[in-house]
Amino acid sequence: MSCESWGPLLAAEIYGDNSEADQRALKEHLLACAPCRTQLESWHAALSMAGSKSNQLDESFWIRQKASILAQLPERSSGGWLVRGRWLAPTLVMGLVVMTGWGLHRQSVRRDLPIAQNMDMLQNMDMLSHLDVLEAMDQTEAQ
Amino acid sequence: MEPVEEQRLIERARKGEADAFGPIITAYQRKVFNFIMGMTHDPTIADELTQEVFLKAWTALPRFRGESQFQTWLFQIALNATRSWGRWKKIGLARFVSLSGPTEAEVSDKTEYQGPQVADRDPGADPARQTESAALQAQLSRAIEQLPPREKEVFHLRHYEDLSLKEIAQLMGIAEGSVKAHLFHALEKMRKFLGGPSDVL
Repeated sequence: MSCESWGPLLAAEIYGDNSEADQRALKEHLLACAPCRTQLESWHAALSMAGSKSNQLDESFWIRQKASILAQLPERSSGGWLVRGRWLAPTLVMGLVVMTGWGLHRQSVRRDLPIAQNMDMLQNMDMLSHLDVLEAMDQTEAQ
Repeated sequence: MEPVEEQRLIERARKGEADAFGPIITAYQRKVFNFIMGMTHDPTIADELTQEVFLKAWTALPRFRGESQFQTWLFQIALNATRSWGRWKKIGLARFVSLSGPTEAEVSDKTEYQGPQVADRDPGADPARQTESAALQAQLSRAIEQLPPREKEVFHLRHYEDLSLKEIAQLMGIAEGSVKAHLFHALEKMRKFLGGPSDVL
């Protein structure tokens, strides 16, 4: 295992983020590897300069910021999820699909309408039972 | 804030109680602001984005299922906000992105941000030593600044915000091993930038 491959473990070691097994393995490596020891020491030196981040902002800044956030909070309504964020696009697409489907269905029904209407008319006028008579009359006329 | 108390407040805020959101803001606004400040180096932008992060958190809170810690989830929003700002900045439109620009009064109301400070800086210490320390501090800031975005994010989250590698992996959506690798590259680049151990010490 080259020194380069120990790098991520070295970096994690700085912050004490290694597992016990990794810590043991790294300790063994460091005993035998001077360049990695030097690297670890140099990182420690550099990071001691970084210190911890503390800012010198006045307390009034945080109070004003908090007040500003609270003043901007939108009211949360129970149905708000439907018209906001990730639900908006799927809802619109679903609506479009349903409307298109309904339109196509209506169109096909309208195309079938004349035949259905004729059948209804024949049944209503009870003419089906007289169909044989009508056909016979037609044949007579033809002769 | 105690985890149980935080959980209770989050639950109330999820239901739309704005009163419960106040203590949550107090608990996290400094951390979020510091992280964004570290990434943007602009107190006005950091303030705007911090507000934007909390407003987004409020809106998205009903969808927070508690699969990760609240802090991790919040930092995920902060990370996305800074990345989004970074993308707009690249094309020169960052100023038009934020929700609302601060008023003149708000800007003047601010105490000037001094940047990351060495924690053990002693006001009564030797002035020459303080000047040297300030110079090293500026050098370190430049070293952090020259890092690629992902490495800078990992370094800030781990070093300054004290998030665990696991939390960073979770919020960045990458493997823990990748976080370690980013951290390693960041530290190594900073060391090289600073000129190695002999120059640092």
